[in-house]
Amino acid sequence: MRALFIALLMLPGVASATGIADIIASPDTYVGKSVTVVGTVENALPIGPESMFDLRDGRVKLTVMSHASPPAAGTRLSVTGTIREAHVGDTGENRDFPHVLVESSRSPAP
Amino acid sequence: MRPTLFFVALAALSTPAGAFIDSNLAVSPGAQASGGGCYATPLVPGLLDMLTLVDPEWAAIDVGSHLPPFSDPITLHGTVALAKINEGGDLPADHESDDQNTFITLDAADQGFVATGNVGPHGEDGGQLEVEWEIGKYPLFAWAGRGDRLTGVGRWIWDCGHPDPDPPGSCSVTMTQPCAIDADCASPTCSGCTSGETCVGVTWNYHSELHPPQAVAVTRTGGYKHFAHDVRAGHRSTRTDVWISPDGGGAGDTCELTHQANPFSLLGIECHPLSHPVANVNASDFTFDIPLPPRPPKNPRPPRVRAFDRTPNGLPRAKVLTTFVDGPAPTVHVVVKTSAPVHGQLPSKVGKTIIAGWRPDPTPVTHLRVAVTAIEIVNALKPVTPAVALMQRCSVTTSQDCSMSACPTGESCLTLGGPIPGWTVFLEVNGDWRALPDLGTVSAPVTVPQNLTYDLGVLTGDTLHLHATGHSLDCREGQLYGLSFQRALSLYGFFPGATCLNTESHNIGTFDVDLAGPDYGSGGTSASFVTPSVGGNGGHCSATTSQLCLVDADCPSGESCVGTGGAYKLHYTITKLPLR
Repeated sequence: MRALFIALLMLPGVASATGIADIIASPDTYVGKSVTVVGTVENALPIGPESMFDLRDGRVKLTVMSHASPPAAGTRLSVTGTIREAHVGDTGENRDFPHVLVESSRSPAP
Repeated sequence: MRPTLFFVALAALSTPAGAFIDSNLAVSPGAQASGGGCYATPLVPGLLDMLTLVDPEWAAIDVGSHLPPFSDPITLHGTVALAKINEGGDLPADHESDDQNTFITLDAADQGFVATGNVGPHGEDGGQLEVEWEIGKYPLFAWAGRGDRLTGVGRWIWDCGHPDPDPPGSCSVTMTQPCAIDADCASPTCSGCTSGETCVGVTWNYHSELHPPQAVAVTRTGGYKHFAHDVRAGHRSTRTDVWISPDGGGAGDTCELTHQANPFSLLGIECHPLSHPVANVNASDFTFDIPLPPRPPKNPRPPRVRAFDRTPNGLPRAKVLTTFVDGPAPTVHVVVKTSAPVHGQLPSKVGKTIIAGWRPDPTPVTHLRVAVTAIEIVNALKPVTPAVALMQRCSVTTSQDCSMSACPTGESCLTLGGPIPGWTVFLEVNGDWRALPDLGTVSAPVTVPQNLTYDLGVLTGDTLHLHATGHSLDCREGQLYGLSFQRALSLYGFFPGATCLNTESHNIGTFDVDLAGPDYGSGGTSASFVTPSVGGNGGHCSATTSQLCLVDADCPSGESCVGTGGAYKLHYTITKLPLR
C-alpha cells in the first residue's frame, strides 16, 4: 500500500498539482509561478495553430493559453504552466479579469 | 418573464424623472429579447467568459419600438463633475480610439436616467452618469470642464462590461451556494444542486451611460468676446460649444452592437472600418437652452447672442435659431437645424460656438493668460524590454515576415510590437482643452518645448483650474485600436497578440491645480511654475537609485522598482492682464 502511495506521488501532474480553487482564491500569489493543475477541458477554442481552453475542477475553472492545438472537450488533463495576469479593456474602471495559465506541457490525468 | 414583472420593467423604463433605474433590468429576459440587453458571466469566470461581457459591450436600455441594437436617443441635462480620457485604455477591438469620459451630475428631473449601479458600491461619486465619446470622434473645443452645464443627446445604454454582481445571489434550493447566473446552480459548478435550480437574489451593478452621444452642448460662464470664438477674455457671458455627429466609434456602430449567439464568434467578426452608425442626426433638430448670467441691474435690453460655425470644412453648415426666453432665470433657446438640408444636403458633423450675454454688463472679469512653455518628461514609463518583440508582417499576407523578403505587390510591410514610443496629454484650463503637441516620439526623459497659450476671463469667486489627463502609450493603445480581434490575431499571432492586448498604457500621474483669486497664482502680475504630477507609475531601482524604471525587470538583477510616480513636470506661466 505504501509503495502504491509513493508511486502515485511520483506520477507527473498528480502529486504536485495545485488546486484551481486555490489559484482562484488568491491568484496574485501565483503570478509568475509554475503550477500544475488538473481538470476537465471545456470551451476548447482553436486560434490558428494555437488555442485557449478552460480547465474545470468542480465549481471553478481556469483558462489555459496554449501553443498547441486544443484538446477535446471533456478530456481530463494535467496541465503545467505559468500563471499570468490579464488586463484587457478599461481596467481603470475596475474590470477584474481572471488570471490565466500559460501552458508549457500537458498530459492525460486519471 | 411573468406578465407582472414585465409591466414593472416597462414602468421602470418609462419614468426617467423618477427613481433610479434598476440595474438588474440589464440582464432581464425582457431586455434580452431579440438580442438586446447584457449577458452575464458565472460568479467565478474564466478569461474566455469575458467575451460574453462585450457581446455587446453596450446595450440600449430602452429600445422602445425598435429592435436591438437600435433605440431612440435620449436627452439629458446636468453639471460636469470631471472630464478626462480613459487613461488605462479601452478594448481596441471595438474602439477606433480611446474614450473621453465626462462625468455628469444630472439635474433632478433627469435622475431617472441614473441606474442603481451608478450609485451602489461599484458606482460613481455621487451617482454620476458618464458621457463617453471616442477621442477621435469628439473635437477638443467641445470637451467640458468641471462646473460646465451639459446637454447631451445620444444612446442611453447599459455598460455591459461591468456587471459587478454584489451581493451575489443564492441558488433557489441549495441556498448556501452563491451564484450570479443559473449555470452557477447546476452541475458541474454546483455538484450538490438539484436539477432546475435558478440563481435568485443577485444584485447587478451595471452602470447606465450616455455612450456615445450624437450631440452635446457645453455651456461655461466666464469672460468672452462676441466678435470671435477664439478670444476667451471679455465681458461676463456664457459660451456654449456644440458638437453633433453620428460617428460614435465602436459604441455607435451597428456591427459592434449586434449580439452574437455564441460570444466566441466575436473572434472572427470583422466590423472595421466602421460604416454603419446607429445614430441619425437628421431625424430631429438639436435643441437646448443656454442659461444666461443674472441680468445686470437696470438693464432692460435683450441679451446679445452670436453663433460661430465650427463645422468641418466642406460639410453643410446647419442653421442655428436662437430665441430669448425672459423670466427669473432667463435663457436662450437654441435650435440647431440638423433635420433641414443646406443647399440640398443634410448636415452630418456640425460644430458651433454660441456666445450669449448682456450688454452692457459691468460685472468684473479678471483677464488671465496661462502660457505652457514645456513638459518635462522625468520618466518616460517605457519598459526596457518591450511586451512584444519587434516583428514585421505584410499587411495582407500576414504570415509573411517582411524583414526577410518583400511583400507581394500592393501590400505594405507593417511594424508590430517592439518599443512603443509616445505620450498623449491633454490639458484644460477652465474647460478649454488642448492636446500637448510633439509627444508622439517620447521614449526617454526629455523636455519638450510647448507654445500653448490660454486666455480666459475669470469671474470673481471662480478659480483658475488647470487639469491634465493622459498616459504613456504601450502596445495595446499604441498599435491595436481599430483592429478587430480577427485582424489583430492574424497580424500578431495568438500569443504576441494577446500579450499586446494585455499591455495597457501607463499612468503618468495627476496634475490638478486650483488657484483662487484675486491673483490666481499670478502674484498680481506674472509668475512661473514647474509643477510635478502626483502619483502614477514608475520610479527608481531599489539600490541603483539613479536608474529610472517602470517595472522590476527594468532594474539590475535582485533589485526592484520603487514606485515614486511624478513622471512629468509642467512648465507654465500665469499672467494677470488688464482687460482690453
